[in-house]
Amino acid sequence: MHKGFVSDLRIIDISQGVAGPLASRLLADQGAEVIKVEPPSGDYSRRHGPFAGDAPDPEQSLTYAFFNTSKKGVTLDVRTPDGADLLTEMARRSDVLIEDLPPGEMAELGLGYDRLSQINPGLTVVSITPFGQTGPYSDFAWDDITLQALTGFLYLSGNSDKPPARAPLEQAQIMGGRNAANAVMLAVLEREMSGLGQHVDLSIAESVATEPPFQFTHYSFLGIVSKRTRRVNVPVDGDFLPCRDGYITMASSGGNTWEELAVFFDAPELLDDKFADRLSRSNHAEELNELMVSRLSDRDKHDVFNAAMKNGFVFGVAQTPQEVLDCPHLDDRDYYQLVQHPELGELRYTGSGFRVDGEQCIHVAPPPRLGEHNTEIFCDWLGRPRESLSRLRASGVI
Amino acid sequence: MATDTKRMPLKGVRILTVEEWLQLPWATVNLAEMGAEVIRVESLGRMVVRNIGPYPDNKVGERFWNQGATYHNWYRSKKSLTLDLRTPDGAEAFKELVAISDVVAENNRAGIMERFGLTYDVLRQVKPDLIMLRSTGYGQTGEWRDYGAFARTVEAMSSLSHMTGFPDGPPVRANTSYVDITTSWNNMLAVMMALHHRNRTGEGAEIDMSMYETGVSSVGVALLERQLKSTNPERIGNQHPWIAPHGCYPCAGYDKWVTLAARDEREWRALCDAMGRPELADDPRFSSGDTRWQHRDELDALIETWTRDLDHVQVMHALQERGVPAGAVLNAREVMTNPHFRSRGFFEHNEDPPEVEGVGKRVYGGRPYRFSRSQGQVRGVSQLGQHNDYALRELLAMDDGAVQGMMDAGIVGTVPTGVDSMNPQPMDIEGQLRMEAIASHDTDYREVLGLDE
Repeated sequence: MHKGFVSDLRIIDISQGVAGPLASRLLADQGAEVIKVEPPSGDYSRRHGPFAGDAPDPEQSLTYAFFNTSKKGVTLDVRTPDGADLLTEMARRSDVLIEDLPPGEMAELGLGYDRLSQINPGLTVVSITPFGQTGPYSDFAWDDITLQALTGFLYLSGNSDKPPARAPLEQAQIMGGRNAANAVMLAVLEREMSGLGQHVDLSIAESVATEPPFQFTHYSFLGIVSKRTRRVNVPVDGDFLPCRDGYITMASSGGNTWEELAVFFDAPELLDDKFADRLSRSNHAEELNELMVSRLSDRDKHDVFNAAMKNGFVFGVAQTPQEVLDCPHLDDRDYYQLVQHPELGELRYTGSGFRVDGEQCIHVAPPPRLGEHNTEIFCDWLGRPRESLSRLRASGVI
Repeated sequence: MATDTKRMPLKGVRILTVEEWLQLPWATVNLAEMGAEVIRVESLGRMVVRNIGPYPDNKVGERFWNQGATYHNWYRSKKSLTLDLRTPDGAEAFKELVAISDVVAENNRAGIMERFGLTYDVLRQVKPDLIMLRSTGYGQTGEWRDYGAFARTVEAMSSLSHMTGFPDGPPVRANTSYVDITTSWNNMLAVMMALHHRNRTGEGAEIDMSMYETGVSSVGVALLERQLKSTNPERIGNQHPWIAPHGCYPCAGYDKWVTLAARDEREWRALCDAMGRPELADDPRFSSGDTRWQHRDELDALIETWTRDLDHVQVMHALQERGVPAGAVLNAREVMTNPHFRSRGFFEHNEDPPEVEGVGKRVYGGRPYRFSRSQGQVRGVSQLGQHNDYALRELLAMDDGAVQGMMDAGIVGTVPTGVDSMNPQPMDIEGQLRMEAIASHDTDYREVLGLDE
């Protein structure tokens, strides 16, 4: 495995939570050197669960543990003059700075892009905020669910017989983080032509608003306001239907005919005239659903799935996390990365989603403990005397 | 498509893409709008998204394949070259284009490019530092490599669906095509990182992208949790595993909702204040984070009593004024007219030329990043085969006879084969409304969006 596509990049990341840390993690996965700068009290994700044990412990937050692999970690209060100086020193020697302070605060701290770019013209600063640096909502209080709400994403999530259902596990911030990583690479590629860095204003809300693939054009082309999926759809249009041990979704016949579907499910009733075409199936959707459920209720979901897929249908199983961990296909692809975590023991981490030249290409090392690399970064790299660290520590800077 | 690419970060990058549906096309839209020249190689005989409408102002035109709303959104900003890759001449022209491109991208089922004889090994012979992105449901290797995939099936496989929805109901989908879009962003990232690597080392790469693996990487925290605990995380609706209140509450009007969360004492007291129920703050059931979470169903019922008759946007502002995270659940019309998104110039107009019937000026969602020196832009929408001449005559310097020969042989063209048997229909808007498959049909949308200005 080569050293990674971006092993020449050095990234300073002072962001916390999910979006910014995911952006720098995606780059660390492919070899970038990422220095994570936490306030002395730690990234706030360390105080958020889920925790490995029953009690909160800053070294056992799984949110922190997942989004901060392969980084070096220092503590630094960038809101103090000494802290701002040290961060400026790091920015002088780096390619990218990722930050998520409220709009305007970097400038107040003397860390605005204008100043940093004078010190290092090649530096790109990516500012990640929930709503962007400008606009009437730029100071809004937020939570992942409110970001899903304000962007049209939540309105279209779930079924229409129920309230909208949020996507779990901070997906709005995950969308923001993926786009922030792309913003970094856009600036890096532009620098290869111009030699210059730039400032990027990344809005998590706009990242989420670009996700729904129809909402804006359906409105703009014909005034249609899209809605959540109907609860009862016609089979092979995607409804979740219960098997003996969980749900499957039948998304497409994959080119098979209705007759072939009837044979596959051993359900000659499907050939009745009332199911003859799409419209009539739609008119008899409830009845059709009951018939399908009767054929599925004593079968195992993975058996139906594998048989269907081998016959060209396109189905899916609502797998549990455990089933995803046990998946034979992911084993075939060497997907999981084994990490020896000093606090949590041996854990399997997810891969990047892609293989390069036939191999899983991802670098995953345990996340840093709070302040783990203070000496290495401040003394060995920036040349501060070792004695100065205790002074910085005493004054709460690190 | 006269776009000034001068300030676009990916100017000078040429991408050939053999793509359908969404998970790769949305990546190439984003790459094109940041400056890459994306040439979409289309088949005259098999088109999917060009056929699915809906059509502008719900009117199907004669050349409907250039008109669709979905087509316009997913294939905007790219050039269109038709080429039958099953024919030797088509495959040969493709190879010649590869020789002068940086990236080949494709999201056909595993094995299709092999059938065309257009594998990475073959293409690398004409372009040694080629980057080839192959993006499929389950990847190019492994037991499931031949399985088909749609976003909804892969979202289910990833376990996201298992954790989305309500405890008393089935799994549900998170929006419409979540894993398609996250994969598109991952496709974009992989291509750009590979370009950076190539610029530095001169080495190309073959990237084998899996939607399934990308989807699973979005639930990584749950998989860590599952390894350390004895049970799977389950569906909990809009509640939160340790924060209460946290939810989505009904408001006045058809399908109107507001979301909110109170994560600490300050936010909780401010919420009670906004509700006009300051006494609740000290109610023993709700006096600490732990007790609020234990009594979260009661709490949700109390909040619902308050929101039920109020306007969703007004509730949001009342809470935001007190520093409580709140967001109205906006639908497409509400997002497109929202003062915040508008003030940031998030929406862009694009105008089709008059020969594309009925489209004219329309509004599109933009991109989530603004650069201090660079810019991105929606760069027009191509008609089928609009760039045949550009690709074959300008780029490959083929002569008139050769191009004519390919047209006569049906290898290139501007009209789909079998067009007479296609039967595009306007959307049955009344029927869709009756079934509540759509929320509403506005008749004033042209005015609302300023399409006639």
